[in-house]
Amino acid sequence: MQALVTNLASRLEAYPPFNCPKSSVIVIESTIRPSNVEVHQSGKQVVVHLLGLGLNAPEETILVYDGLINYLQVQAHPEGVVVRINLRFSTFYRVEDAPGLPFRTRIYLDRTPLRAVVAGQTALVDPGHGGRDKGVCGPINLVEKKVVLSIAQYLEDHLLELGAKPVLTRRDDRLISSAERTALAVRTRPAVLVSLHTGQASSPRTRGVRTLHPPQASSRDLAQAVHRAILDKMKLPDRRCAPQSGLPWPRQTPATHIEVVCLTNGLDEALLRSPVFKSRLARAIANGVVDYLDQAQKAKGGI
Amino acid sequence: MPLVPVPLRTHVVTFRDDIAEVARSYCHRIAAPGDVLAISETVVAITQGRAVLPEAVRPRLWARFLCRFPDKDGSLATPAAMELAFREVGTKRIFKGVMAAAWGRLTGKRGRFFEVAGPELALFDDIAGTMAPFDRHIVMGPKHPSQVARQVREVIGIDVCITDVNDRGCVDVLGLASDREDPQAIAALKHEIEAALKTNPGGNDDEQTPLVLLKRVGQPESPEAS
Repeated sequence: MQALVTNLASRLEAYPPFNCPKSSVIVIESTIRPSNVEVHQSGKQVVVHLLGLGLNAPEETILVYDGLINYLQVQAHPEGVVVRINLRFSTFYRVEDAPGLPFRTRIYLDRTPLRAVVAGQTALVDPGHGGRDKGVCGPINLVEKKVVLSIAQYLEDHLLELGAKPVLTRRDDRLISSAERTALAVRTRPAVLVSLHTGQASSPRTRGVRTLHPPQASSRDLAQAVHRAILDKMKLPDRRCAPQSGLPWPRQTPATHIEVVCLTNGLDEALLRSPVFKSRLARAIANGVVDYLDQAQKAKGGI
Repeated sequence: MPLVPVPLRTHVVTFRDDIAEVARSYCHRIAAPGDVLAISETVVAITQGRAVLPEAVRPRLWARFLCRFPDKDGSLATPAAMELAFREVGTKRIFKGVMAAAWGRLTGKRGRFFEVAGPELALFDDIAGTMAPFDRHIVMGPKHPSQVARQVREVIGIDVCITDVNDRGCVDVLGLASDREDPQAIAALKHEIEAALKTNPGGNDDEQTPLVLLKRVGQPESPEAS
């Protein structure tokens, strides 16, 4: 059996030394222990050299977008395998190994910089519609009020993991008036407001994500950050990010109205049946919120 | 000597790939006699051209109606997937399955549809049921898994199985090619494979590991299998 890297994977795991509920982990599996592992960091890139190993997996770029890691690049070199970890934030790392078959080299990355951006910030998450207001109905049998509530619950989990304070406008199937939603936004004074919807179109062929925002600059920046994060992670068709007047949110609150997919399209409806898809979508929205808050804090000179 | 799973990351396998060649290229430097290669049934189906875009399917009225009854995140929950099920097993078996499922609901027994209409329909991955880029496709189960296993075994020289594994610990060996002839020995090998794959080492999300080499540990190193 030759000395080869057979698999690479990314995941989120608890890692007590970093004092975060979860850390980003890159797991590199090989047939035997590498003769040496050299790791160095240059800004937002961590480069891992696994010396004495060949590459059995393909040379490729692996998209991650877990909020901290954007993507990995895997390359074979004469002296070993090189894995470049491209990060959203510069951070600490620790390397640990787990002997066995396969031998596992784990690179733990501290998500504290990510949490520093959002920790303690209130995020108002508004799953649209509810009760007798079903919203858009899909061509088979999904209804907007239920799928956006499910996505909101995943988003709440992801925001909690980052240390934010998510507040949901509803947690069950009930109708809340526009005035009540606005009043909650005024009362909680959130750092961001994310209103979740699905789109509809006259053509059943229309697919993809559309993000609307009130005309204020802060809302535009939030909407653009979330829209870009969804496109990066989900690879959905782009129905554009655009200003929309008449959205019922307070002027001073950075707010965005996301139509996560177009529910009148059969394929988009089918994607929303998958819990994995909904969780990934919520993760993408959380990534966009982090990006926006980071930009906003940098603009204020906070970080 | 137990079997230890080693997941093998591959390129994104498509209908242009030959599954035996894919297996050879990712195993030939690692596999040794006594090992078993487990191949995911989904990737076999993809190489057989059985991944279908829903827009390429025109569902009949019955397919549009019946797809409303399975669980919302189950397979056959879209008109296109139900239409492909009609084409796969025929109208009669689908309606027999529907009647069995209706009776099953009344008597509290689940899974009767697949028992009667055909277990091969349970292998369908509906839209979003597998990793990108095939998450936009319906992937039907593989054709002739035992034959495929034999073909791959001829190329790589170790035992090969085609498996359907999920995160709930269910392992289904759909096809197995081995040099063992004794039925008891084959049953024992199947049992070993099921035990080794119970934790779903290949994953069900976006792991891109359709091959899992089950290494027989504790044996001396021998020359490469192919």
